[in-house]
Amino acid sequence: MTRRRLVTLALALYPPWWRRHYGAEATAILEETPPTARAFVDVLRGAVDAWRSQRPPRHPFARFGDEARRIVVLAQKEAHELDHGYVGTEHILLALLAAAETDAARALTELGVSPETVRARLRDIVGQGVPLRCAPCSRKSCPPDLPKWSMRLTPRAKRGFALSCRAADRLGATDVDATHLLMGLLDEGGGVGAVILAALVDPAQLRGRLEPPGQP
Amino acid sequence: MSSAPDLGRFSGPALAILTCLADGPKHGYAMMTESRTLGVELGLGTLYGALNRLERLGLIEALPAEDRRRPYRITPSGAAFHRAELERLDRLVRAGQHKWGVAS
Repeated sequence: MTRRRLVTLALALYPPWWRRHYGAEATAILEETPPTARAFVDVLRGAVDAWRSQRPPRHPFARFGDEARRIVVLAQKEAHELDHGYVGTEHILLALLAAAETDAARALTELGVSPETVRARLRDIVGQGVPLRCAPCSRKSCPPDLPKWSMRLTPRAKRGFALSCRAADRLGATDVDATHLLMGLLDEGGGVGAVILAALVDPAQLRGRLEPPGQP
Repeated sequence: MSSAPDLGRFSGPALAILTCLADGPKHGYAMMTESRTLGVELGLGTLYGALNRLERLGLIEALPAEDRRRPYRITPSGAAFHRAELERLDRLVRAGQHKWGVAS
């Protein structure tokens, strides 16, 4: 076994999330650097450190631009007004419509999606829910200044946010904006927001309006 | 100074990385190469240990990956931290040079 191969094999000692996140680039770097004993020891020490002290750096809002952050705050507001103790894809959809000046809101409006139609569908699906206590602070009413209110995201909302980062990658954008958030909802597909959308519009037609022509 | 993040044994490598990123986004291999020319040898484990901490502290952020490489850029709070660290080190360097009679 060559020394280079041994150093590269040491990457198998890193945590799975680490290899998913950094693995491809780390392998490329090891292929281009001399496989010295010192480099090998550093890779081994890094593995111990990765298990003990490193965490996946990807937090949901890391790449969100101002527009996307505003929509997250609006989604919290929608959830709060509906007495829901969580923020789900349905609240993100309502927030996307509330921020009316974005390309995503324009595309939705042009296809006949309005806050009223979404709310009507939401009542059919979720029903007029029992007023819930705000789960994070367990008080009957949350303080009105929303950013302080810690929010619990549903797993599908989280996944939708992660997929909106991929949508931004696909379109070559650095920051996630409203269009990417909507594409994340569509790509996730199973959330209440996406189900409501699928009942109101043809998802393929909506995608066509969101992605500039000529994109795959 | 406001509560400066404690990077422990990664503070040296982190400073080298921030210096590399001060003039624009770069990916890991470019940072390794540039910091070697600055006299800081970054092994792979050290590089990613420092990148992980810096990213989690919000001092740098990852840009979309190009091919297999992920460029990073310095954030505004990262730039402020870097400047403060450079000033702190500059005081140290000046004091040391003064004591050895090196004109600065």
